Amino acid sequence: MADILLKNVCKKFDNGRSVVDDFNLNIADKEFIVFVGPSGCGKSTTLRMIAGLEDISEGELWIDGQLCNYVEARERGMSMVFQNYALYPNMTVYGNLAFALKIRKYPKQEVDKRVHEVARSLEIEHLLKRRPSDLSGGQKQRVAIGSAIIRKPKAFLMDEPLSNLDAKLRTQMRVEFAKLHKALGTTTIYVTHDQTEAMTLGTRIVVMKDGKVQQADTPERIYRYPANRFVAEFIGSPPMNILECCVGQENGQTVLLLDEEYDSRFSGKRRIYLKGTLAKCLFHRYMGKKVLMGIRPEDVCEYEEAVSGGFADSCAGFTKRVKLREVLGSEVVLYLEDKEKNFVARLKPENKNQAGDFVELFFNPEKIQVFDKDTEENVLL
Amino acid sequence: MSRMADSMTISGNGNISREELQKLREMMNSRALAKRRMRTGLRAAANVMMAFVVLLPLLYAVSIAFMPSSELFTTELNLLPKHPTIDNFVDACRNIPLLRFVLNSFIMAGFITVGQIISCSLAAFAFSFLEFKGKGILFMLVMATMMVPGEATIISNYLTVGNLGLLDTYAVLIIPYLTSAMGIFLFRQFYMTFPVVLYESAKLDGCSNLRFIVKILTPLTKSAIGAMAVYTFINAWNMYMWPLLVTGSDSMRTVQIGISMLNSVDAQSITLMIAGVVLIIIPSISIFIIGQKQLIRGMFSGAVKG
Repeated sequence: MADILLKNVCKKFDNGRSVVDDFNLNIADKEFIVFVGPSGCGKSTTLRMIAGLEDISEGELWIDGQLCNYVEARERGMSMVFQNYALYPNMTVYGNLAFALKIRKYPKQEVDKRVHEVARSLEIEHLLKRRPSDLSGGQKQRVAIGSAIIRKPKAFLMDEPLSNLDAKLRTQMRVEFAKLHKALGTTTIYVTHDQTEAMTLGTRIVVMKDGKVQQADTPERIYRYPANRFVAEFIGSPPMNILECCVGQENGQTVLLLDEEYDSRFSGKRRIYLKGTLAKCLFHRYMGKKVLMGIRPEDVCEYEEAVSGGFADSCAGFTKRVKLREVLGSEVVLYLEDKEKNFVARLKPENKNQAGDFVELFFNPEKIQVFDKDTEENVLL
Repeated sequence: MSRMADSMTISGNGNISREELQKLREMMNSRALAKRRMRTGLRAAANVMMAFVVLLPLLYAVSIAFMPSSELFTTELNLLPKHPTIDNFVDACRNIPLLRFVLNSFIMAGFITVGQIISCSLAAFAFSFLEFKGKGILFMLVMATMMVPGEATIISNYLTVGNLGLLDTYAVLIIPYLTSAMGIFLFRQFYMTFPVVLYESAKLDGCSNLRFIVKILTPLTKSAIGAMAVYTFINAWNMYMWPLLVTGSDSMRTVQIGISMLNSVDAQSITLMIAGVVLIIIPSISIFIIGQKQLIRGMFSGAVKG
């Protein structure tokens, strides 16, 4: 169990290229932190710096109140699960599990006891005499986890541990990870580029881009209140829709005027009436200016739902031609024609619109996020 | 048409015997089988012929070793001895202390092999797994030594070991060859294909570098070690110039010099010399046969990913 503090941590390579820039994060004991971001964003490098596999160029790493910048990897008390398992092919499963304990000169009986305990808990006791080459992907992953948990480390570091598994096994192992964290309560740092893993496993998610932390928060808050446009579009599948619009005032109320071509059929409906803090903020800082409005595909609905939700009058009717219709059983996803990229709506399965049809959609004003057009930061955060 | 009807009857009855089925299959496949057999036969014949051509000098040497001198020096072509004798081997062993030379060569080649495997694998480990400043330049320097011919340094090396008072000892035969740039290069190339994640995992498990080499790296790079061992042993066994320069007494000479001692100006006997040569190539051929699998695997490993 450990508290981990990263203070202004930077990683620069010899050629001057910066991979991680001014990384600040305080990880509390027993937390399950997930680093998520696109390839090359520095999430694995940060994890490797915590593990001691990479030197820290600048900044400080504190583990349990001890400055660990120059502490050897083996003395940091971390254990790591790698993407490609990193099992020693010349040893049996037993040998792999026992290796770390043998190095630490644990008595033979204690080693044997712990190996069997861990193997039993991971349901790999029958595999103890086999070599890694005789195991399936899922079994190898279990052995890798076993090797990590057997020496009761201060923290688990996991570097995309599920990306080599097939979709079904990945879901199964994800549940196992969650169970394991609940049972052991060990601080865990988990790196992934899969947002489903991030959302389901993490007690907190750190979204990274170009070596910088974009947002570190709970999965719910990251999803509902993304700090900037990148987070909004990165988290969530399909991603959040972003539309350019103008802040204005109508009947004493702050409105977002959709920057659309005029359509006589739906005149008078192309504005969203805002309330509360967002309205106040936009009124004071962005009146008459252009902003970016973000809305999640599931917060887009048809007229009937907007009426039952009570926001049909306070919201614009957004008319678009359907480009593609995807039926997913529990929902229908419509891809609509838009200027630059897809506008996506996730609707109820009863929706009957086909490709080529015009559809009028409504936004729930309470679910709208607004971003500054220049900085792309959330205006409320 | 009638055969077709027969087979249909057979399958219709459902009581075809194993032999009948086999016969039917053979009949149907006989043409393809004949073609395949012919191709295999031709290939085998070509291989045997090539092997014979390549091995001819060696086989002829073995044949000469069993020939009395009188049979060799005739105008006729005597490929095989008419009156085989082992006198040449007995004389070779009697004229020079051949067994002593073989022992010396074994000691020298054995120590050089073990020494090179240890030193080269450690150096290659540093060049492939450790990060330190000037790694690239240092490796280039090591590689550059391969461009200096051994003959260019032989005098200075001789003077050095002479000043150290090491002449005519096992140490002088062994120490200058305890490492080699070629060995470092070979091991490094092999280690480059080794998954670095295993090293990182071992480090996190608390493993020291030396322990990693002994417990994980060495067992997993047996083929590279085998290849290196065969290559080094044969090279050391065949060394001539350096042992000739630094050894003076019979008790320290190696086999290659011993063979040249059979070539006396006063009494030159080709059969005697060839018998000596046949005797001394036995150990190096044995080493090659034992390690050939490792040698081939080691030389080609890393060439293709997978």
